[in-house]
Amino acid sequence: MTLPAHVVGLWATLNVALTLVLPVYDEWPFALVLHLLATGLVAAFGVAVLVAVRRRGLGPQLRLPYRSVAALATGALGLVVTLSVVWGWWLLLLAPYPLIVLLVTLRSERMPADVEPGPLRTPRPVPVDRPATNREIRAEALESAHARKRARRGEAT
Amino acid sequence: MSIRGIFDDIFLLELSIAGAVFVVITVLLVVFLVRRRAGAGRPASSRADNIVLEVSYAVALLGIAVFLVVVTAQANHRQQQMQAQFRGAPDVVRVDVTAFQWCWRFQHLDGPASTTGTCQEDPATRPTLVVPIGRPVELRMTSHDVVHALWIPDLALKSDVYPDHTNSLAVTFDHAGTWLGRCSEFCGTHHPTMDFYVRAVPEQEYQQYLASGSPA
Amino acid sequence: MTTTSAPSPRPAPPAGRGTASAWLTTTDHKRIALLTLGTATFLFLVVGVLAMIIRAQLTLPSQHLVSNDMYHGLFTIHGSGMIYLVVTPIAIALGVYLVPLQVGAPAIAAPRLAMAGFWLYLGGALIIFSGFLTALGPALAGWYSYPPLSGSRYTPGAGQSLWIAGVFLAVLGLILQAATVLWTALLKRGPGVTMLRMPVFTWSTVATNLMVIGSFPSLLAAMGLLGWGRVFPQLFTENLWNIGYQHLFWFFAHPVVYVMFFPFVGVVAEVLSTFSGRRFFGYRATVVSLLVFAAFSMSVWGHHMFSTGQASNDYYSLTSILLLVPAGVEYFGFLATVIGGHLRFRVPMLFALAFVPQFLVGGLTGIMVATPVIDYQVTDSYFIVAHWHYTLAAGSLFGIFAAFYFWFPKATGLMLDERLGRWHFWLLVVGTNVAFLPMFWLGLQGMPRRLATYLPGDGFTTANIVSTVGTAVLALGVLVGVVNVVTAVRYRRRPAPDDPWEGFTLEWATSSPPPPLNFDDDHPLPPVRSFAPLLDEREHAGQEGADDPAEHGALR
Ligand SMILES: [Cu+2]
Repeated sequence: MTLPAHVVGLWATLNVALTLVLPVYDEWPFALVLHLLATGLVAAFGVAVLVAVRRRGLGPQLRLPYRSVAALATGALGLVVTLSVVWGWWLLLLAPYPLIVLLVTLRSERMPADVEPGPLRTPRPVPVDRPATNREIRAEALESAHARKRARRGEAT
Repeated sequence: MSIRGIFDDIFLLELSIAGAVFVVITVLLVVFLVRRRAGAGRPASSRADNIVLEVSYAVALLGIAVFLVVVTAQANHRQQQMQAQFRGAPDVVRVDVTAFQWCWRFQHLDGPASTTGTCQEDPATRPTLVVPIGRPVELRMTSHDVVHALWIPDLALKSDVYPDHTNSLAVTFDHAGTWLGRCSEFCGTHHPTMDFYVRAVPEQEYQQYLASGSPA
Repeated sequence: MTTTSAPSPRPAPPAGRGTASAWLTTTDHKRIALLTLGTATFLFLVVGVLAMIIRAQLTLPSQHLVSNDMYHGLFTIHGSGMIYLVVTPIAIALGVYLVPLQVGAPAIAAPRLAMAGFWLYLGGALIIFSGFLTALGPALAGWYSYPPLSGSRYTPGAGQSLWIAGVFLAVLGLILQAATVLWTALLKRGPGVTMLRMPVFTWSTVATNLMVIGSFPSLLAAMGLLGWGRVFPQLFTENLWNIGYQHLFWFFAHPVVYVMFFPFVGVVAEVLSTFSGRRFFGYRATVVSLLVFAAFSMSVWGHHMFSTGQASNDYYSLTSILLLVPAGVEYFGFLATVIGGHLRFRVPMLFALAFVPQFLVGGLTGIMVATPVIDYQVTDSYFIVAHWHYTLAAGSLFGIFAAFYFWFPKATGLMLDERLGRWHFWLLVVGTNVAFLPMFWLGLQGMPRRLATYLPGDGFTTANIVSTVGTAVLALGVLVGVVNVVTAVRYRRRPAPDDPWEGFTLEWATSSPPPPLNFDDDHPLPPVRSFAPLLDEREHAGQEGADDPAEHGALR
């Protein structure tokens, strides 16, 4: 269950170990701080993984937003903010528009938690006898596709 | 042994190892591409692991890695010691090197001699650093503006040159000659022509140069 | 011939799914990935054209087809474009497409975050290229943009500022995408798909995205510092900030090299094992080596600073050379898989096979440049240029094309042409090696990198002519690839079956292209007992009765 968190945790630990060798080589402390900060980010991610596993367990994503206008708004907001650094702070006057769209859509695009999302289903493992794809099957697929195409053109099959 | 000699030794060592590894892997690959092609009719193996083999192989690799780490670290220390020795020599020739967009200035500390240029495509516009044969030379380099790098390819001598910081290179020229030096850190519009020369001359000629400011 | 308007062999998709607005507000990880991959592929061609101009200029000595500053802009946009906008996004977005499929999940975690990643990346790319429209032209301080050169005092003009803003935005987007892929692989796997049943490619993205999370924020800080310095240029008169920038930058920029490499180790592993007809040899060793490799690659950044005189070279040399151990383990897996295989030489296989010796050249010269006494001489010379073109063009690019030919049928439902594919492959092999091998020689001869032109007396002419000829062949190869895609999409003559290659991993169990939620009633998720579930099924069907996959070394 907690293997994912362990993978991240062990990885961060290996990073710390490598960091701790730095002082032996008398490297500028800035390098050490930089490396530890980065490891801190990874460790924080690991903690988030651990918390998520404890709270919701493992398993596929079942609750999906149905659109991503919020993402578009985020992109526009990022564009306005960074361009304002280049072209002048007045560009920030445009920032409220994508910000409002973002705030509105962030919640409204999500499906309510208690609603079974339309076409979404948990994939269930169904044992099936799946024949190996081989040359014959491929030829068959090709043949049926051609047949469909001919049919669409109104030719005799 | 010179700095160039250390480079040549280690480069040759690593080139031989790399060459051998490349040949072994490529030959193995090609041989088995032929032997194992579908037309040859050998069925695919269903084996997925051989932990013992993999671990012993990894340990062998670690041995090679440690060997390379030790050998190359030693070479690096030899190189650093050699430079420290040059710097500490009583007869060391000290030259202050200033890099700027886009040329070099060489200021001798032993005398009033100083040289600079405009570093255009015409080689006559490049400055020439004059040094004596056989005595260690220390170049103390700093930049007037952006990061440059001083590189004398034939001597395997290179160091970045920073503003607000001094780096030092020390080297001995054991025979007369002229070497081309370049800027190897990209530094703006006229970076490609930011070249200079180093000319090693006999001691007497060097003393004349120091006194007069121009080579005899 | 009558026009064929998208005849799909499958039932018609629900109305409205094909419209532009459906694509641009999608939450489907496959579409998010295709938008990103499509943008990156288009930019690959654009940025590749810049390289053609660079090679044209360098073919003969004393040529001035473009001015020095335009040349500097071209190599800056070529280098930073390939790294920030082409190979890294492809490396990450390949995971966006494949990871949910390979772990049997119906969707990616936080799809809107992944889509925001695409928009930020697209915005960043547009900002960077908009530099060409400014009065003083695009950024021209190189892909690592060292201060003080990249400061407003020495590089005035909006082009450089736009570049800084664009790189910041694009990389921010890539971090978001990487985080969603990692979250999916760690937490959102389908039933039966345990961590140790994830395919090698998925594991490679885990290692990759851990590095992204740890190291990419450092670039955001570096770009912030550059932006600050453009407003207050006084900052970069102090060595502290100049060398500090280099640390921040390389702390990102070495790991990014492996971000541009690991996913293609995964791709090559998948392709080699599929066309060898056997499971990948040494799965566990490869998984461990990928993770260790990734951890070590976080501590090697200083090997880019050997010649600064301000770094502890021995430490960075130690960590860099130790990388040969995990790299060697991965190569062992490649070779052992081929050695016990039943090999079919289809186009993806050809690209994967060429990756093996070609990337090896990049790796072996990588050990050389990780050696301080060699690096003092070859750094900032064409030797370095040759070295990383062997890793990125001869390595990652071949991995990209292997992936392209391998998964194109899955993503589009159309097969690419084998014959054109072979032409594409052989032209690319010849072109790549003829273009980049002479550069090693040029570097050892003393040619510095980023040289807008050279003199007849420098002795660089012959090798440069050879290199340019190679580049032309390489370009022709890419062109054949483009023709292959265009004809396949235009005429739709070759519909792809679900599993055209006899694949092993879950994406081959669903339709081509997969349904919106990846698996449906017609294409249910098969039982997963190892990292090659479809191979298990086939072996199961082959020898009815006798059967515990563990006997064949399958992992449980
Ligand atoms: Cu310079």
